[in-house]
Amino acid sequence: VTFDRNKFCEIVRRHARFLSPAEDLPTTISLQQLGLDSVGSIDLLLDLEQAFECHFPDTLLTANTFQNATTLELALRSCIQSCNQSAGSKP
Amino acid sequence: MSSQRAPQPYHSGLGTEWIALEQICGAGGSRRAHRPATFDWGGFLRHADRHGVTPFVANELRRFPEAALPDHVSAELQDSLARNRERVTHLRRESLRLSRALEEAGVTFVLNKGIVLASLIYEEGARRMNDCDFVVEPSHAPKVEAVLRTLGYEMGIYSPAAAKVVAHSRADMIIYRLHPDHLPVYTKPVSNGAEAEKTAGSGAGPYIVADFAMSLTWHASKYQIGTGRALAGRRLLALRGFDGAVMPCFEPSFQFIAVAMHLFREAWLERSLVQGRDVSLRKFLDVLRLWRFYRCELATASFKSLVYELGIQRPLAWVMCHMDEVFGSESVVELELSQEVDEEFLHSGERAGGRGARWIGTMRQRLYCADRQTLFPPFLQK
Repeated sequence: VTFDRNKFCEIVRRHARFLSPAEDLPTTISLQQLGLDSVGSIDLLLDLEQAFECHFPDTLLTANTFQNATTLELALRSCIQSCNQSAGSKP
Repeated sequence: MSSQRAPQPYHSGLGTEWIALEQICGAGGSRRAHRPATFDWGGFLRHADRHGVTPFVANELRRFPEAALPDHVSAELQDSLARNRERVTHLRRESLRLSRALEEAGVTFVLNKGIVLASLIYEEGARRMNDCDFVVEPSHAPKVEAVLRTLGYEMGIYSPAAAKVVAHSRADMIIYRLHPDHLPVYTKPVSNGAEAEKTAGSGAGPYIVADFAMSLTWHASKYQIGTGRALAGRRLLALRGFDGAVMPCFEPSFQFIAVAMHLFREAWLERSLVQGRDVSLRKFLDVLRLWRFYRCELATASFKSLVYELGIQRPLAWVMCHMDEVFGSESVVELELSQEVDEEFLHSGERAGGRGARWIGTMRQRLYCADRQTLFPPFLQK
């Protein structure tokens, strides 16, 4: 599985209710300000896990992960890397 | 802000059965509602069951032989009480086993809610219990999970269809991890061996649920109460029916705060409403009986001072004001918290993302209403 930034942005945009279609996804503005609430965070995470075929480990299931698009992207990248490594280590 | 609310009259639309149930709960059986010839016992039992107070009602009515209950009603009530007594004994035994293992593992904890209240402020078997509730120091969560696994608990909930414990859904696990105010629920199946024999035919069911809270409120709440402080003043309470056995519980002030803030959380957060955990007569009854039991220690300047120090005067006043309205108690005046709430706050709640919620009607109507969402009309929500 590889990280695809366009796919990532498309999924986050679906949950950023206050972001207009014409705007780029801001990387430093908090996702909460973009309209992501606690219920939305869960749906967003499930969508990302399904799209990138990985599971966020418990250590990444924190409010810090959802600070903004950059922190979420970093968490997802690390998650994909771990998943790929564990898949590669299986016989 | 208003200083005192006018008492709310009974609403005739709620029916005699509901009023009788309220009076049995609030008056502890000392007052009874007039029962006309058309009294609907089926409706009365349904109200009691929906509010988790059937064993309590059964216990109260036993003291009044003149109540002349129809035979089938009397049988149903007594069956409920007997089954709950067995369930309580079973859960006490398991709580004791858990407590000993937690102590050995060096976990700082107290038993909370039903298991404590059933021994402290209710007659035997009168308080319905479903699980073993604990409060633990958050940093001890890994030790708790290790203890639970050693004792045969599995992370998940019991599925009657599958007759086994099934893992929490991915969405539920994400909620648990993002809102770390509780450990994920652990369940122990009791399907074979000596334990199964003990529970066979009792009201206990083929499983035991252990619920570990790591907060007295909820994650990201603006009302935070340090568990360290609450757990520092623990007391030992005798476990009824188990000679010499004691269980650690909160000292009276934090015991009351924990029970009242639990009610507030369930009533305040929209997600509790959606999950069917909104306020019930049983939750109010816990607060009312605890208030009456500890009144000498709670209706004091030192308790009031603690409430303000913790910054929970408004949620506590919310609970007590609504309780007073339903049961005719005067706790909010006795604790001098009347000025902390107004009608707007009393009809508020919280939706996802911290957005405000509004509800209509009185608390009595809210308790009576089976479809609570209708009291939260969409046009009033922010």
